[in-house]
Amino acid sequence: MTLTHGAITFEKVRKEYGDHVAVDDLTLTIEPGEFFTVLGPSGSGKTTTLMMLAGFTDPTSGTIRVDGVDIARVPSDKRNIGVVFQDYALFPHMSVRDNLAFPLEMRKEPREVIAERVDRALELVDMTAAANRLPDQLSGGQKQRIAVARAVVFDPAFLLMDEPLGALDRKLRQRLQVELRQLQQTLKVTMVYVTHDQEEAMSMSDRVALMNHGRIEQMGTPRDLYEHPRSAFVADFLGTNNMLAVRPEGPGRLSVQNGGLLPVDDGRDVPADASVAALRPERIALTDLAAAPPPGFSHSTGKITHRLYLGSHTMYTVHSETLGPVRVQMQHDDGEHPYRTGETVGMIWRTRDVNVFGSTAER
Amino acid sequence: MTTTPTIPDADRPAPASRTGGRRHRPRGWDLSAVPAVVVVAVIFVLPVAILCLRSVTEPTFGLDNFTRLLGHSGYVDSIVRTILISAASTVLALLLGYPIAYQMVHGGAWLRTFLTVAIMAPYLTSILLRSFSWLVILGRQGPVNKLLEQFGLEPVAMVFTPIAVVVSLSHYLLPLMILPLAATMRTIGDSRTRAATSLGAGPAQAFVRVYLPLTKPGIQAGSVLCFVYGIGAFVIPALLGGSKGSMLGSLIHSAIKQSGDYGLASAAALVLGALVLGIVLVFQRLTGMSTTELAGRSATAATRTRRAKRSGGRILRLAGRAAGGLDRLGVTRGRRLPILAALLGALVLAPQFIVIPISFASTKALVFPPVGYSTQWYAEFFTASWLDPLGVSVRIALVVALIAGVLGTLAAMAVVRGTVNGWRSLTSTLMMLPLLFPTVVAAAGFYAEFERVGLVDTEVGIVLAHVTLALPFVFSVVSAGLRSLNPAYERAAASLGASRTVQLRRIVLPLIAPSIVTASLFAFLTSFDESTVAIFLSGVHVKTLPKRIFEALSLETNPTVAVISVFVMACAAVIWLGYALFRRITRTSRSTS
Repeated sequence: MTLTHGAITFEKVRKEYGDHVAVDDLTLTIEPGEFFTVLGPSGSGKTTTLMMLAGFTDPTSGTIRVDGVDIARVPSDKRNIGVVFQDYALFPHMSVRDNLAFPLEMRKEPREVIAERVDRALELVDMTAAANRLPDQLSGGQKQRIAVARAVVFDPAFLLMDEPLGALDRKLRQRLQVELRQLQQTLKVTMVYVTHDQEEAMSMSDRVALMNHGRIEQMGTPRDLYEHPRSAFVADFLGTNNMLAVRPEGPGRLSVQNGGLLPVDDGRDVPADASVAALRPERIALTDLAAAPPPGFSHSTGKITHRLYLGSHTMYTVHSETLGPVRVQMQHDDGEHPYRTGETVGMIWRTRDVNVFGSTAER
Repeated sequence: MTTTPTIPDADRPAPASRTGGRRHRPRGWDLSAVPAVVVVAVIFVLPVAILCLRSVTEPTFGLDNFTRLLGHSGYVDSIVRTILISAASTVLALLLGYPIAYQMVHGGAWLRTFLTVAIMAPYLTSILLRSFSWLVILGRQGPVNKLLEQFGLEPVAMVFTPIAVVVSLSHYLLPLMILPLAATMRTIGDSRTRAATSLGAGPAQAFVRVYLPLTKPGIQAGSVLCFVYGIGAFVIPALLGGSKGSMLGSLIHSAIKQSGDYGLASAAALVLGALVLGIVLVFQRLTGMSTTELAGRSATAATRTRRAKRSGGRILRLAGRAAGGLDRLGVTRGRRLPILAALLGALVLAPQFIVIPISFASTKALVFPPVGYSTQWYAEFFTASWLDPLGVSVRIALVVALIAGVLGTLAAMAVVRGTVNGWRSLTSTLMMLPLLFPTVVAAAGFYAEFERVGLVDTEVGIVLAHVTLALPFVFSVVSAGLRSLNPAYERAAASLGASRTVQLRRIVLPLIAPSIVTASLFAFLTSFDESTVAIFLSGVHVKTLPKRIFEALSLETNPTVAVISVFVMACAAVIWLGYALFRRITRTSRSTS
């Protein structure tokens, strides 16, 4: 198998439902063999995007190409896409084997070929023993594997998955994330993965497109999106962030709403309409009061108002005179809480960890 | 690996896709409704429309027929009596039905099952057989008069008076009241009454102030259904009403079949049809419920749409205060309601069983309990005079079940999976219309138009008419089955390469097969039980069993009808058991094998 197929391009794809624009001039390119995730909150247009790619809905305008061919007029049963559905959609009246044989029968494969390829697909997902069971007799994780096997058994041009792990418990979900990623790399197949779960998107994807209100807010590697969010929405959606309302106040300085100053003097260009600054709780350290910041660092002081013990770490809320309430995440060294509620502490962070967004970035 | 993933499908001509333009690919099942829509439009709607038209054209153009109808005191009496009897029956059905519905939803497991059987068994029994039971019960020598004599009272003549019509009509309408009531009550749940109790309301007060207002949609839907069906009643007043209790249906029947006065018949039919449509339209405007939902006997949609509207006000508060007084007296805390409901249920079921002793009676007169016993009526049933009509009914019902099964399933596919909204709502309205529109008006229309093309007194004619009456049941049952089928199955099949026909054959049909079987069974029963159309359309050559029973009952009293009731009960029990077994088998085969 080579990686010359499975390239997908959206060009100005738009989908309207009456007055509502579900997908707004979407343009993107997915490389062959790429694990591409469409991430977004509900109502962001990610499911509509998937429906259009699979052929269950027509775009209002624009073109979708697979390997250079426009697929707008191709009905879904001729598109040759392996789809894994949210609730798996295994046919309840057919055995696991019959479910897997179904797409091969549709392609009029000879019986021996069908038997051999079904066996191979069952081996691939390690479900050979369940071949003669009915879907209702499988556990959630088993159903998920069979759904994947059914989607790959006919060598589709690419795979399309719609929140395929949504119905499973956390532990199983984490294991299957690893399995799905391995399977995709073994088969060297293009994968388009739709989810609202950022952990899934982060752990599996080569690239992520974060959608909001029918548009792509930002597209890039998971690290890109997390470290260098290009809008307040991205910064707020991924992980946890302290979102501070700010105003530009001279070069390298922002004034926070309640009067304090937030330095951003690391040589970058602060947008003239800067309105939001984001600083992640895990990038702030609590210190004793005396510590002065080394070059490239900023600091503040405040009083601890809340403390949440979360097992692997503790989340403090510090009420800073200059910045207002700020959340700070600290790993514990020895299971002790070094700081107490009511205590006055210092906070220190790298100046470049502060991300600043203009007002246009806020929707 | 060979990948030719994108072959533009040549045999699927899609309207051109222009940038920015809206594009409709016929991906739904819209066209599959065409046969059923044509059948209902041509066989049901057209004759009724022509009949209505004849009221102003026959014999001469003008409103003569209406001046005749509304100028004659006997006819006006008939119209007024129709409305009064129907209203009285509706009120009686509400009073009896509310406690039964309440216990059907909130009662213990055994009581719920018993009440469901008590309501459904009469519902599935022919209206003729139920009328016969009432002839026995209310007759001069029936159990009611026997009881009065025990107390030293004079026997009361009830048969051939409005009393008999109201009693048996409300018994007939009871399931139509209870089904929407129970559907509404099911959506309420216990928590709100519990909340009211926790806030200090006694049981009666909580009921009046909280529960009763919440069941208003069910009361409305049930009352409209009962009133509409009551107005269109034909068989019950014809058999039990005599001249003092006759209604509009009988007027239409005798005008057409006895005096051939089509003008008068169509004017009366128009009045009847207009009354029904007017009531339904006003009701829809008030509650926002669709015809389909009303005919489907569920008021849940009304519960959904009608939220947080204040209702009742002062009257309700006064009633609540009275109820609070009852609560303080302590009379509402007993466990009397389940017992009352069980008694009412037994009362509803009683007419089913009263025919068993009658079927073994030795006399022709309907005396209860019978003075002597014999099996002569069983012997009489097994003669050609009864077996031939039975054969005709079975044959017609089988053909109707087949045709209505196929057409109704296709129409349901179009409505549930179709894409053109206007067409979908038109289809579902047309499909449910024969259920809501008075059958006696339709029957008059069938008779008048079938006469021109020589279909009166033929099996084909009855089959065609019955297909339109059976379609609503097939359509609603299969639609429900399709709605509960996850559309992801068809999408999955499509993504795996299955064309539309393969999806239907391999995925959809196997999964909704139980619904189709149920629907066809309903279609069979509808045709087999149907009396109104059969009375109009059958004559000398073709006689269905209901027509034969109607003749037997209107000319004389004949205990052979009791024999049929007994057989029908036995058959119903067998079918019910077989059906339960069938559901169990189809369910287990899915989880074992």
